[in-house]
Amino acid sequence: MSELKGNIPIDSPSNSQSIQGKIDLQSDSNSLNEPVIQTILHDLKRICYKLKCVMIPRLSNDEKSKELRDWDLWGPLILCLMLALTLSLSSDEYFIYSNDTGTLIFSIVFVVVWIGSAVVTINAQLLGGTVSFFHSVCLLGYCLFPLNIAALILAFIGDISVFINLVLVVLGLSWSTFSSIGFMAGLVPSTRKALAEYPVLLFYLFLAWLILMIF
Amino acid sequence: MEYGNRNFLEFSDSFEGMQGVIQLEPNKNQGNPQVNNPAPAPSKTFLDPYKGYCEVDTEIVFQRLKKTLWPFDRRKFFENKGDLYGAFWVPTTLIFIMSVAGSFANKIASSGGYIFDPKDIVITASTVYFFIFAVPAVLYFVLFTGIDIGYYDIVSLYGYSYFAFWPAAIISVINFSLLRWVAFGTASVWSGLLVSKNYYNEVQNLDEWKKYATAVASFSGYAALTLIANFYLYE
Repeated sequence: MSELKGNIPIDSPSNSQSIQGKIDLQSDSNSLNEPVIQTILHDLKRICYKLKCVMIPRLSNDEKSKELRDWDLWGPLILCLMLALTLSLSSDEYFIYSNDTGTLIFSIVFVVVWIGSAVVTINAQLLGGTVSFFHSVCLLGYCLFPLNIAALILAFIGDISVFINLVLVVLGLSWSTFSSIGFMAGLVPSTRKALAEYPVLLFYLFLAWLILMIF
Repeated sequence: MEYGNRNFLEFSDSFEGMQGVIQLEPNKNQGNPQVNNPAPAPSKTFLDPYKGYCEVDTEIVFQRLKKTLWPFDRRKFFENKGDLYGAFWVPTTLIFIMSVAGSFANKIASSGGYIFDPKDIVITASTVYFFIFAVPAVLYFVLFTGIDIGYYDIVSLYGYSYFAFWPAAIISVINFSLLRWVAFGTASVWSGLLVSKNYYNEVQNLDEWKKYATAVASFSGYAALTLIANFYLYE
């Protein structure tokens, strides 16, 4: 980033002052000039960074929510689409005589993820939480990542044993839930913590069950 | 120089031929790191009217759930106001339980030949949500006109009454048709009793046809759920 620093001396009748300043010459609008690949890579790096922040448990809940304060819905969208595509494509090759199932599953996953996140957020707001709507939707979306990984893995090894499926899905479910439940609980008064945490659990539980049913 | 509240500095440089005015902002945080700003005033959102209906704590929700299971108490269900939290999450959990139990029952019953049909979820969810919205609407707009009961109170009570279906849904996993009918029938009667006991005094003063209509409307939701469960969900 290039900047212009300067010092303007002023001689005024009362005293002698100077104005110091700094002008940043590279602003965000300059990204219009860079090649598309660079912008995409830049956004992808940001998404990966947020993903790491949310997923790795070493950050406390407050730090996590601070990292995600500049929310973006690209990450959740990518994760949601990946999950929906994985599930619908896997179900298509399973149910050969009903090719509608794939589309139905895709729509169910998509609708449940977005409307589910919205409902869980509105629930937290109704219970007295003061959180930006999109901030919370963003966090719930990013916490889909473990279930996403579980679905992707199961797409390849799902036929081996029901027990492996169960273990993988339960792992993904617990990781997702633990990542987001602390955030939710911090939003509402402490007497209502369980009321705010339960919908998060139900949300991920439903998606986990859907994954189990399809593989 | 000062003009109003602001300081303006004139400058002119006859050598370069520049002149102009620079506006000085008074420096608020002179050398201090930024201290916490006062919290922004809470903005009014469109959710504010509903917040009054969600003033419940975990304890209270559990107490209300317990009260649902024993509908023979003549006292009012809600002390003063209904809560929309239970009214939404009890039926939603019921949809989830029924979907899980239904697919589980089918998997056991058909032993390998069962294909997961996601249409079940959509149909169950649509039915439950439709009746949660429609039955209280009918009761409130058509039947209880002139009686002082709020729409959201009816919705809350109706939503909580679905709690009796949770055990019925779980028991119905057992592949025994008569058991399913009995389980869901009992749950319907149980829930219906809860709703009617609560509004008994008000309903007494209605006309004859309205009394029957109230009973029919209240039970229609449960009946629909029973039919779907027995004929469609748990094959």
